[in-house]
Amino acid sequence: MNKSFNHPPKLAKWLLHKLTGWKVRYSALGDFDEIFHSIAEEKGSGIAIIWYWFQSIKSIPSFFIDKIYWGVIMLVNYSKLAFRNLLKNKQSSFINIFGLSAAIGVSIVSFLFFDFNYYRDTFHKNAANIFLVESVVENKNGDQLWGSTPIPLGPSLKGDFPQVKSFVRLNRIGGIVRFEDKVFNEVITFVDNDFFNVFTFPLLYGDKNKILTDNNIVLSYETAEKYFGNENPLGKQITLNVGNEIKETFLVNGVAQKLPKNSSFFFDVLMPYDKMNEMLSENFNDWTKDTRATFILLNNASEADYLKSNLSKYISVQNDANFDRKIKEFRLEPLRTMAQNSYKILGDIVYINILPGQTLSLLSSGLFLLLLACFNYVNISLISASGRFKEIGIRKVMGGKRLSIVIQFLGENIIFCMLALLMGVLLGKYFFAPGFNSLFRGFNFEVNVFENTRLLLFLIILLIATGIGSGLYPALYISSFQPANIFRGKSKLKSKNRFTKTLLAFQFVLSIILLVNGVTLIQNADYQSSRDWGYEQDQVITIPLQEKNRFIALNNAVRSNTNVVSTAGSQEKVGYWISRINIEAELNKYEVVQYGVGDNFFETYGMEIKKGRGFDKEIKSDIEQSIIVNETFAKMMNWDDPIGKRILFSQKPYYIIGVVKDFHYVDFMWKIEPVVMFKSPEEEFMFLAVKAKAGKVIETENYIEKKWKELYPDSPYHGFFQDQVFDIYLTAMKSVAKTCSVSAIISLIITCMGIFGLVTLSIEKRMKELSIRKVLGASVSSIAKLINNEFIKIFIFSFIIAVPVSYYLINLLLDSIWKYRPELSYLPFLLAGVLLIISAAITVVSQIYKASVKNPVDYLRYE
Amino acid sequence: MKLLSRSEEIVLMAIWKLQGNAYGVTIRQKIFEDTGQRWSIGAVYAPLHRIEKKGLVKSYDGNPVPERGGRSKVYYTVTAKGKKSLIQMKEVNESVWNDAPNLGVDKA
Repeated sequence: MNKSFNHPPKLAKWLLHKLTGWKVRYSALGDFDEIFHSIAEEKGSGIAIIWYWFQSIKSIPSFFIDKIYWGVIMLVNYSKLAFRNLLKNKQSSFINIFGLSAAIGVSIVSFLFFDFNYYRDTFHKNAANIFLVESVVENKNGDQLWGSTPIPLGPSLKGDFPQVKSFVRLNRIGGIVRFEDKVFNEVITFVDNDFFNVFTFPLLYGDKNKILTDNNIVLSYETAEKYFGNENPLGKQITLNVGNEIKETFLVNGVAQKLPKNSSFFFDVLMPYDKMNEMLSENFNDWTKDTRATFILLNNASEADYLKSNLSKYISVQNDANFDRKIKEFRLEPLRTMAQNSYKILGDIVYINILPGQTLSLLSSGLFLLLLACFNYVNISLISASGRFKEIGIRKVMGGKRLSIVIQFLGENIIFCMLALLMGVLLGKYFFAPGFNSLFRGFNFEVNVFENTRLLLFLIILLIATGIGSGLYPALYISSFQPANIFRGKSKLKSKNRFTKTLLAFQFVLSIILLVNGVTLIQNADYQSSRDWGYEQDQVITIPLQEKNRFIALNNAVRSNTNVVSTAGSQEKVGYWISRINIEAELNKYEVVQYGVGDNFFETYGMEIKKGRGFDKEIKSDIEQSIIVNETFAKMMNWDDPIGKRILFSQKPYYIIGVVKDFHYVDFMWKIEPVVMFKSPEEEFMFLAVKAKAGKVIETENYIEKKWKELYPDSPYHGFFQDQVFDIYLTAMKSVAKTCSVSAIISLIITCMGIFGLVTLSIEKRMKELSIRKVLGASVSSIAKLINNEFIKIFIFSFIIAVPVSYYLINLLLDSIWKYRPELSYLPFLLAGVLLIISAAITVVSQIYKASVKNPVDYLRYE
Repeated sequence: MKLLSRSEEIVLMAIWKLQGNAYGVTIRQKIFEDTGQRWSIGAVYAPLHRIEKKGLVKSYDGNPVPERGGRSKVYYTVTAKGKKSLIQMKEVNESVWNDAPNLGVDKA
């Protein structure tokens, strides 16, 4: 045989090396070499090399399939093991899965909340180029953003700037709509006829190009249903009554499809903008009159900056016309951010204002719960790993690489997380989301993975994050044990594992924070319900007159009833109605809230006049030049005795004759502002307030309703009890408290489950030790003390950390939302600590008890 | 027992026919002699690996030789289970081909 050996091509050999599993590699590569050499002998090394390459490539498919085949078999093996393990520790598995799925359910709702807020108004095709024009009004307290803008601004912008493709103004006026026997109050939204070209609201019936002209009306889907049922309303005529007494008929020539859920503004009835000026007999070109919104559509969004810097010329036009309200500048707000910023804008058209604080707190509670659940899993898998040492040892001995063990454990974890995810989605869909929707009006969240692709993406990311987050550390830790140590019995998972303890401490801290949160918010809801409104709201019935000149008749009709203690009229409503004006005092301008009221107003509402006097029927000059201010106003002006001081309104002087105690005209999320109250003539009143005798309130209200129907049969009756005016707000407060309590309780349960799992496993590990102790005569309580000690130390440590952190956080939250709130007492912290320790104690004790009644013989037998 | 796949059957039979002299190269050669097809080395080893896992053949090492880059030849022999499997395949084959309508191929 030829002694000089040629060598097979190294590259091809390397390729084969990589392709073949170790079992096959040895003999197959040997075959390759053997044949290579025999060919090299016979036909020369060139041909042999060619053959080698050719044969290698030809063999690739088969080797590849071989490798995959065995990969699949291992996968099946791992899955079998995974399920077997899951079933072995049924208790802790269930604990973990339930905890994680509850956390996932809550996170889903948090995500939907964030998603809703972030993606509002994105469905408009032109969204990127639509801007809202805002006015900035100067105030002593700083600049205030307003959504309302002068009526002529829109058309002027289009006329002066070629960059403005079109404009759409929006205004809302209440009116009465009637079709055959159906009469309802509706809010009429007047829009310019480019409305459907600028915004994307698809029509169900009607031609986009023919609507919003002349005497035509467009209805929303729900409004059409209300008046016409399932019929097509096109061509039908309805009568409308807006502003003055004249009723006009209009033709329905469009019905919009159901508005998308993430639209920030809605409409019920749409009419052409020009019609509004006609019906209200107002001037087109009046720069003192505002419209609720002016939108512009630019050809290109990048031109917004150029436009912004050129808006100043309109400022002087506006300010010349309008003495009382001086605008400092006009701004352009992209449609994209309008809804998110709506909490900053006054007088805008966005329906749901969401404060950034709310989004943040909801997101963080979801995150907290997830962290808790993941920590649980990490802790429990670390400790339960000690039961699987033998399995790992054998695997390693049989040639398993560390990587494949890590993959095995990680894979088990992902299967587990998938189960939890499924349960979590179900929980979210049928429990948490409906719960949230019912607690907070106006939200209608749906957990629909098929429709909401962002939700699907979120869930996938969640799966990967929780799978890796909760599985990586245990997998790495467990796979690191050396088989020799395992079989020698030398490797024990230290029960004093610092990592486990830190995780548990973290869980305690999180639970305490959430508990403090929950308790404080419950306290707050309670406080909000019982806080003094600044006036006496019980026994008062308020009736919106809806039109001027109705007060005298109704007042006379009602006054004579023996159950009526007093009546009064006003132009504004006490409760969610803010009318602001600009006044001048001591040479400075101020924006204040105004009320125009009549005789007996303060008595009827039980408002206390602290200094001076109320309006006097006998004193004729009261109507001309007297005003009453609230305490906040006096404080603002730094007047100790405001009586007799002078202010200017619309260039006319008024003199303060009294100071009224501050009253809440809106709910406690808003600070009470300076209020100025004028005496108004009775013809101007829009509200009648009636104070009834105690116990006779409902009777009186029925009487008033009867009288109303006699006097004004064509107008719907909208009287309400004054003490219900903040009902929606108070219910919302209770809902917030409920939600936070729910998450606090969930976190408590998760933490207890974590403790439960830990204690169970830690006791099991120490059964030998405990059995020996028991045999030697230790009592249950001493054993209990042993185990408790560890947990108590962790608990105290966590408590010390948690208290200042939660104090800071909860103050932050409360301040950002409420202007009037209770002071933090020690109660929430005490309660949180007690709840936590009791739950933990019960959990630990129950397990200890179970352990103590076990027969020590069972555990000592093997030795 | 489950039936063997065609390639598994061919490889197993080749090993049986080689009666103790069966290793990668000779098995591949035998298959060429029997079927006239040149299988790639990978195509031999894939089914070989499977039938070894199934316990139909067992392997033992020979002595290392330089022609194999210092590796030994790995010989394969058919186990009792493998023999049963072959018998089963024979019976199945016969019953499948039995009483088939004439294919027009006459073997003298």
